[in-house]
Amino acid sequence: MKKKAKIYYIAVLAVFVIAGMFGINAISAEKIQVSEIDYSLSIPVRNIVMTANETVVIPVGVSYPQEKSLHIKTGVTVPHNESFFIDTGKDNLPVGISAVLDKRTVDLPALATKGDAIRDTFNLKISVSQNAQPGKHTIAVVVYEDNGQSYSRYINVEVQK
Amino acid sequence: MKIQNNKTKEENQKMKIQNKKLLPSIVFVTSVLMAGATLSPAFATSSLDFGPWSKTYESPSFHSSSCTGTSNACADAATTGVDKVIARANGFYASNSAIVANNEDFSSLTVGSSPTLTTSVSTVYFKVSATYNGYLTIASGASATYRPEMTMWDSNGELGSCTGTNVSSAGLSSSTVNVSCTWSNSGSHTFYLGEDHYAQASDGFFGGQTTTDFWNSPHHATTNWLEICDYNC
Repeated sequence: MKKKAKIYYIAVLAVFVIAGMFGINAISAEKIQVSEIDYSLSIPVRNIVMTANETVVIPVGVSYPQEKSLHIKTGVTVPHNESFFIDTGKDNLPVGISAVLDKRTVDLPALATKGDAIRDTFNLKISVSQNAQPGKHTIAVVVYEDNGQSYSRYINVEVQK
Repeated sequence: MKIQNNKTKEENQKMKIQNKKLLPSIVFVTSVLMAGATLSPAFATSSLDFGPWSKTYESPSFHSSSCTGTSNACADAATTGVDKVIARANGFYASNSAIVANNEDFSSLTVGSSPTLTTSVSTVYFKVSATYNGYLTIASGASATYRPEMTMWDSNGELGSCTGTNVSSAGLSSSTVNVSCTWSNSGSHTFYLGEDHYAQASDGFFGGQTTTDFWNSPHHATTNWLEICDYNC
């Protein structure tokens, strides 16, 4: 009988230990929001120099694990305006600078092969008009999901007279 | 019969001794459990008194699962120590003067030695955990959210940013957010987290007054830890 009591004692203790471990983790998981972004953009240039009435086209690669599928939207805005752009569609680009993409959505199917690879490419066309202010301007190429999670890459445009 | 009774008495005596031995172990295990619960993330998030770069906010599967590339080179701020307080409200409709963002003050930032990682691998991996505390007042008929953002830099300047999902919608709130991001790389660069890793609050409607306040103590953003790794898995 005493032996049974001892086993019961240990069993109750074990239940408390396991419940404690899982319980604490469950609560903390609710408190912490995790955003894991495993797509990225590959842009061959970082700084470009342009003059009025000039246009350049820059290829932008989308890197993503081949074994996974993805649906993202694309856009161009200015740094630290990404959330605003995602919410409203307003790009706030500098006066006289136009930046457009030839693809507004990227849809990638899951493949049999594994590992990161450039899965898609779109083009960024930057045009500078006469009324652009000389100096350095930075634009952000942004890709984002329906939940607002986003990734952006910056390009510096030096406008010369 | 007498022999059997004596045997039972002996067994009972042995059991008593064993129980006495067991008692300290139970007390010890219970103490450890209680101490663990006190330091657990669930309890830590309710306090602002934990030191910089404490791992108490860590979500284990998030923090330790992926920074294991082939070279496995990591810069981990949890070991070098940084206390970074960042706050910014951004993204309000400029045409609506009634909507204001309070306390976009960067002058009193405390920035320690942020970790850097110099590497030439093709993919670099960032992991950041931050706790945001702020007050958001939303005008009638309007909507607004916090959205955390971290900005990455390399040796040539600002690279871009990663933006997490929404934190909360209104009122005084505190949330711990983990954001991880991969970055394509070409050539050797030194990578680090920008100082303007922040929470954005954007308002979606005109009319009324929406305010956000990240700065008035204790409402602010604190980075809990940062990892930058080679990631060539």
